[in-house]
Amino acid sequence: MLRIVASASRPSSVSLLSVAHRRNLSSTSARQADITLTVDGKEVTVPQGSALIQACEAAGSPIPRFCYHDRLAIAGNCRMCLVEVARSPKPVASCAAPAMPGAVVFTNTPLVHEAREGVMEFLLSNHPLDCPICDQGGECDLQDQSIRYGSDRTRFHEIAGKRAVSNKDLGPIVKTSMNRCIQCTRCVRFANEVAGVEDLGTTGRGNDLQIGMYVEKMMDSELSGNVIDLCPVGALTSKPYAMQARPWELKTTESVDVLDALGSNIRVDSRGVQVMRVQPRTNDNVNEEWISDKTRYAYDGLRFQRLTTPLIKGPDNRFVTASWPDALAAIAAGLNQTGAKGNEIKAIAGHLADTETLVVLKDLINRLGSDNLASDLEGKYGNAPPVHGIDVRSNYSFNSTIAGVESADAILLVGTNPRHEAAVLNSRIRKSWLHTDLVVGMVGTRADTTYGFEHLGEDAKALEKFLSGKVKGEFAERWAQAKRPLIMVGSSMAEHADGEAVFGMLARYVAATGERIVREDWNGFNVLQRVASRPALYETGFVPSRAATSTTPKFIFLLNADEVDPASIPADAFVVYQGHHGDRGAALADVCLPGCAYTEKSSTWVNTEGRSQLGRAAVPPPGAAREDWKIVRALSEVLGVDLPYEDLVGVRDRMWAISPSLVRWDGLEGTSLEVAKAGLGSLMSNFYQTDVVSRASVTMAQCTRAFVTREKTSLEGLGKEPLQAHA
Amino acid sequence: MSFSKAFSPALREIRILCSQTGAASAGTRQFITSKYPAIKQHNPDLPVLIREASGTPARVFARFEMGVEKHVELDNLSAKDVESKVVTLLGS
Amino acid sequence: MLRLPRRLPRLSPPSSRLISSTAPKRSDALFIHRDTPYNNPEIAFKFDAQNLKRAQEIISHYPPQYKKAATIPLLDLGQRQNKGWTSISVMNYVAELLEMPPMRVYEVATFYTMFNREPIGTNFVQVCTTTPCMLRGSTDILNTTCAHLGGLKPGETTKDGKFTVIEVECQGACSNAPMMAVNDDFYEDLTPETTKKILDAFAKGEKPKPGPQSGRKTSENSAGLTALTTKPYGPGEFCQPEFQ
Repeated sequence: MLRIVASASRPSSVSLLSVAHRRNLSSTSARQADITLTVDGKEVTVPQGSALIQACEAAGSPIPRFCYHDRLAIAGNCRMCLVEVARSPKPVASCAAPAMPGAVVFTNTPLVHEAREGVMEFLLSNHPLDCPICDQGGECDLQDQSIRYGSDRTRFHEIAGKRAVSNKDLGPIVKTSMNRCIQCTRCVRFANEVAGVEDLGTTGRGNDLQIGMYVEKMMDSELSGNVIDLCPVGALTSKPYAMQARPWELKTTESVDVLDALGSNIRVDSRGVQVMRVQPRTNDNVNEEWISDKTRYAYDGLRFQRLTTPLIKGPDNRFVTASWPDALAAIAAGLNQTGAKGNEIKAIAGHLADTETLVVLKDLINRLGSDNLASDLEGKYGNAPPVHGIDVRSNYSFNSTIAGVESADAILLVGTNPRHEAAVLNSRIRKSWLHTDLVVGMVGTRADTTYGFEHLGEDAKALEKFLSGKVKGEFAERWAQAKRPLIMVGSSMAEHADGEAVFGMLARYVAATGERIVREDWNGFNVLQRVASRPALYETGFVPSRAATSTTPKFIFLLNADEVDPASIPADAFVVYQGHHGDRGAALADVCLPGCAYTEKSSTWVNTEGRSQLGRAAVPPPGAAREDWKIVRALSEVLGVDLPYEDLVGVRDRMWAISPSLVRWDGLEGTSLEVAKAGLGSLMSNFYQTDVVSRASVTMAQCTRAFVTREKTSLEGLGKEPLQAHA
Repeated sequence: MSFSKAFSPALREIRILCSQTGAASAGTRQFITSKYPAIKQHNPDLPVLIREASGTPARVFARFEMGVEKHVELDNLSAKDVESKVVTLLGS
Repeated sequence: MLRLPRRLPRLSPPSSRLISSTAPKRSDALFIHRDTPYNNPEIAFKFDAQNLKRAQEIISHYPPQYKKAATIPLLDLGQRQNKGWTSISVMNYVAELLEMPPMRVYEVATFYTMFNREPIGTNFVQVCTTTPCMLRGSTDILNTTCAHLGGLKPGETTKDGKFTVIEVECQGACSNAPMMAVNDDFYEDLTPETTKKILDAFAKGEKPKPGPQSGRKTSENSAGLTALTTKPYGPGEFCQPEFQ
């Protein structure tokens, strides 16, 4: 645990699996007994194998550091964390020294102070004095620590000047100013261990050591933005945020990311009405300390192309601005004019719809007599109930939990590329792959993950072949012995022609393996959602009824639905779009209602695990835009529908009545074993042999055979398309 | 009315809330395990949302046409009582 | 009253070398690869059959999961095949052969100064100027070398591409100071005259005899042996009878 050598090289072109090529012989460490030592006269107990710096932290003695980071391997090269240990002739670098039982440590003695001052002097001797123009100013570890530990005068008289290092081009996200680098190598370790981009390293030696890629190359990673947070000085800063703001001008709001379905915890920094930047917030259950680049940098999109006032399409097919009462009245008139009744009234929820609004909209549509609650899944799939069903939460959730991925010993990816669908989760798989014996198998389009995997085939037939045990190979062998096998099905399987067969196959397989995959302490059947709104959509039952599937809609309400296929919207239908951006959805609309983006409203988001989290408003909505659920509530009034709540508390009471877990923010409500099994049972579509009596029944066996045979014949049509992960 | 035939088309959605482990929900959980497959078999298109949350009072909601929703409390009831309560709710 | 220290007048012209002579190195020129017509990844490099066999032999010394331990010997092999310098293609090839990220090889190749990342002349003259050699007159040897090769500066290659001269740190032959290494051989106990002779021989394509140029044997006392003058005794002599 203490030292993890980032030695794994990742097979990029060939999907190598053999353990021999990728990691050290032993890299796991069993948790051992606790040990006790004394830090600054205080007794402290830490697990054996902890670094001394951790013991000091535990004792409440802060240790300055640059290179040490909890989540990265230990380098021990900045020497800032020197402490005095009794009976040690020299100060000890506390990050690289293991805490020993009975050690007596001092962190606040003249020796320690002098040592740190000396280290600081060396670090500063080559550090430019450009704090006034440095973006790190105000949140710079070097600045802060030099105030506390630095010398108050300079002895630097080198005529030749300070070391000069050319800047590197790491792409559109990370701005470099390599003169400021103090070679802590945090970025190098992050890139190699967490991001899996083994292109960053140190070249040269001694005073000339520099961080870079040697050849000219960009940092091709979806997690590259995290090196900016890791950099203790201003060597790596954010390019989009460059020279934009100072940390002390910013207002910080803790919120939740909605650009994938992980629900990464974020911190939105805003100045006035503008979001200036987004940074990660630590949550070990979700995103640890990382966020993807999309999460971090999509915020500038919140400034452009916004809908700021209600718009009504005039007779010449051009939008004219309108007041809220006019826009709502236009919708009521539109509904009347089309004469839409029952399921002809359709709502389509998009990727960025928040839970409160979904609940209110569902109530409204239901009360208008319709069950046509579609979503903008690819193609026609949003217009029908999803193939995995929504009855039981475990059928569409990531049941092993995101943190639980690390305890899996074999992972089967089905039609998913976690690197794109949930980049932070992918880094967890890589972490586990590096440090444990994890093996990964993949069915679906081959992708460049950041770890080795065995490619089992592209289509549903290949999956069937694997599940029936006809595949030989290391992965199949290890999978058969795995104690905590994990199946990860991509959400795109619900939008695939073979989706139903895939889910059926997996459900039957899980049932056939008995206690292996789904049991009391482990649920290894996972659906990885990739869109923030979907788990909430399914949780609240926002799906169309079977009858609604075949109805031609006359009135369509698009809630943040921009991915909807324009061809699926009848030309004569009256279309309302509610959302925050004037994109594809708005272009289809007769009336546009400006809503809030995720940084502008306090709303609930459910992540792929089923964890509900509260996003908070960082900035006010632009122009006349209003909070989304309030718009729908106002519309209900105009349409003459009575909804039983008037304020946010009322809406959340309603959410509690729909599913109590929706308002248990930050907590995770699991699914009990029986219910999870019942849920998988409904996927099997085989109700003939569910108990001892029917299993003993010959008739039922024949039914099953007939059924299974039918399934087998339906397999003939399988595999026309690869199980492609959503890009 | 029993669970071995299709419900009235006026019934649009059933929602069962219960606790995963709580004793008060034991009857409801038993009801789910014994009756859910039958309900699903005869009403394959009817959403029967099972929403668990620890310690939540067991309840069942039925949504009928035009968004009319009714519910009954099932806390501390045996599986049999749950069944009869649900039958009354769905039949009403 | 305090007297302000006066700057001492310089008594003599600067002796041939200053105490601190390391020129400020501009790092980017050293530790970043920039594509040039003679050094870019497009230029193919592959071990020839003989070296490939040798490479495989070297790799077989290490356990398969620690294949990367062969980085340095393989880079050396590549450097020898590639006219004495390690081009980017050599590094990429070694990385490919050892199945490791190229950056890990670049790190090694830039760390060790004996990997030349720029082309060198046929004869690579490395003059030691560390303290023992300096005390024994290595400055003269360096100056002679540079002047004799047509006024080079350390680090430069002659126009005909036959010689590259660099200053190096201690080569571990201090007892035979001053010394220089030409390619893989040490030429020791140098004087400006012997230095010129050696360089001339190399220029003609000959290979002078390596070792001390003063005529003494290895690092024996040049004034003749004062100890150990008798014949060394062999095994069994002066032993108990039973061991004889």
